[in-house]
Amino acid sequence: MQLIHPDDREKVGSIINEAYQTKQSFEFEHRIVLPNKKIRILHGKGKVISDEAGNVKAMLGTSQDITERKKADQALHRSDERFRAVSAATSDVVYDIDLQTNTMWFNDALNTEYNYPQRRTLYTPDWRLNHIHADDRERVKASIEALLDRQDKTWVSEYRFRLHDGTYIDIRDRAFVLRDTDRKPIRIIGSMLDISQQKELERAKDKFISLVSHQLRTPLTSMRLLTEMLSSGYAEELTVSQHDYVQKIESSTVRMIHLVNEILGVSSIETGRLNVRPTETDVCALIQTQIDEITPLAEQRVKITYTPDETARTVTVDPTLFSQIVHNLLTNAVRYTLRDGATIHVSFQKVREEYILTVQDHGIGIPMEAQPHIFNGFYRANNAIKARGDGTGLGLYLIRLILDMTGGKIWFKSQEGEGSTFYVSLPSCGMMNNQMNKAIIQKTQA
Amino acid sequence: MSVSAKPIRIVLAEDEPMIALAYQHALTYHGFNVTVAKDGKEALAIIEKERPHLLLLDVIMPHMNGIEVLEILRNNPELEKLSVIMLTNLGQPSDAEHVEKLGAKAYLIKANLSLEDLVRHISDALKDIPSL
Repeated sequence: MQLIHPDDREKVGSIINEAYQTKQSFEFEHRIVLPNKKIRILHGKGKVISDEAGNVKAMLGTSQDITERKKADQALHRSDERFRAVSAATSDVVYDIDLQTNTMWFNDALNTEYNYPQRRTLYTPDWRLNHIHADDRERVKASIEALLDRQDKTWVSEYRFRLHDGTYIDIRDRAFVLRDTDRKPIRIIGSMLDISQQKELERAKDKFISLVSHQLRTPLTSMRLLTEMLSSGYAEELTVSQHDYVQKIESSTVRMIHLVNEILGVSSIETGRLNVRPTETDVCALIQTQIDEITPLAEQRVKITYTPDETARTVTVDPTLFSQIVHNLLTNAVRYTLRDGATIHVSFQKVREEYILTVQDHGIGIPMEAQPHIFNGFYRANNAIKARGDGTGLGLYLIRLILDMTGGKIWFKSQEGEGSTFYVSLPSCGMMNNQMNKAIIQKTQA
Repeated sequence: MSVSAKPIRIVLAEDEPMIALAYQHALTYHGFNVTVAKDGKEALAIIEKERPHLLLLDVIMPHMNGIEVLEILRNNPELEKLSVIMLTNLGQPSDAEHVEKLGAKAYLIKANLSLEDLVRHISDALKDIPSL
């Protein structure tokens, strides 16, 4: 009795007294104070032993230290409270799926934001699935099944969700899977964020881009064709100076077209509209075509060497995107090589588990201070601006976007005045489909 | 090709007058017989009458767009084999896929095309026509 916390003594005394009177078994919790002044919580239970005449012969009991369990319970209670407070405070719809009972709890936002009536019973995962737009449903279902099969913890998906009034909103759903000690999934906790406004903006941007693409390119096409008619002898003979002026108009027009094309290329990747279509491709032939196309631009000033590597001939790539990468690297190499007679080396090889494309030039190189920035959109190094006034600063940025989206990498070695070597690596499976698309959208929006 | 006894007939469906002018002029210069249609409906009428060897088909046109024209052609047993080159200034990859399925010989971005390039694409497309 000495050890029992002074505040609990009366309670313990009365429970034991009562048991003595009623001869019932008993159970209680109380605190004790140890000699070192620390307080522990004990759980006691016992029973009364009496003889046939009903006289109490003994009281048997056990006492167990439950301090740690109590602390854990309190922590759990606090964390549960915190979860409910966050769920109540947010306008996101928060859910908790119990995979063992196949039930789904939602926070009040399902009622306040999506107008579904409050229910006494829990919803089910199937209810949620049936309210996902029919065109998205199978994809989401398969993706949740795959999540449970894999050992992943987190999951992100986008889909259209039906509100109570029958209209749909765009949802970004992020979830977390809880597993038991055997790694078996037991709960999925997640939140459904309404991204309709963001999607609407993306659609508006898409529409704007395709409008600009058409409206800008149409007059540019007319200018290009009509100047070509003047300069290529479809019309009356021009004087030498007239011919010179017309050619300058023509090359400016083509430059403007390239600029529009590059901006379109970048924005179609940034908005996730670009479809990557990897197919088995003769990469060596593709590289050779790009070299043949760039050679007139090199105007015999620079020589391009390339020996196809037979062990890396057929690779799964998107031919258009891979050509774009080779084209942009070659264009830079030629444009920024000012010394006549210099050589550009191109190679494409399998190195261990990767394919490596290398484009090495002996051009003006990239100044040290510019090196961290050259993959940023519209960035141009000072010596590049000086050497060529007409660049857009989008070529390397576009390559980076393509590779981010297809699982490749790009890096370089360069010294100002000595030249640059660019390396592009693709995994052994080649270019991957645009799985990463959404990650890029999020990154660019951030 | 430009000196064959019977000139090769091309229908050009293009609503932008300056582009139509340049194409028609250049192709005539190369010996082709070119008829211009200003929209999709007119193109179909001219094709019915002239039975060309090749159709140069713009995508964005009034009344009926190029994709609709192509779909109609592909459902007409007499015209389904007509060689078609699609021309556009839109850059929608999804369109390109659809057009490929409908069997167009090429899907070209007009802004990226010189007259010389156009003539080369036409020659390539004509190589595949067995009667020529």
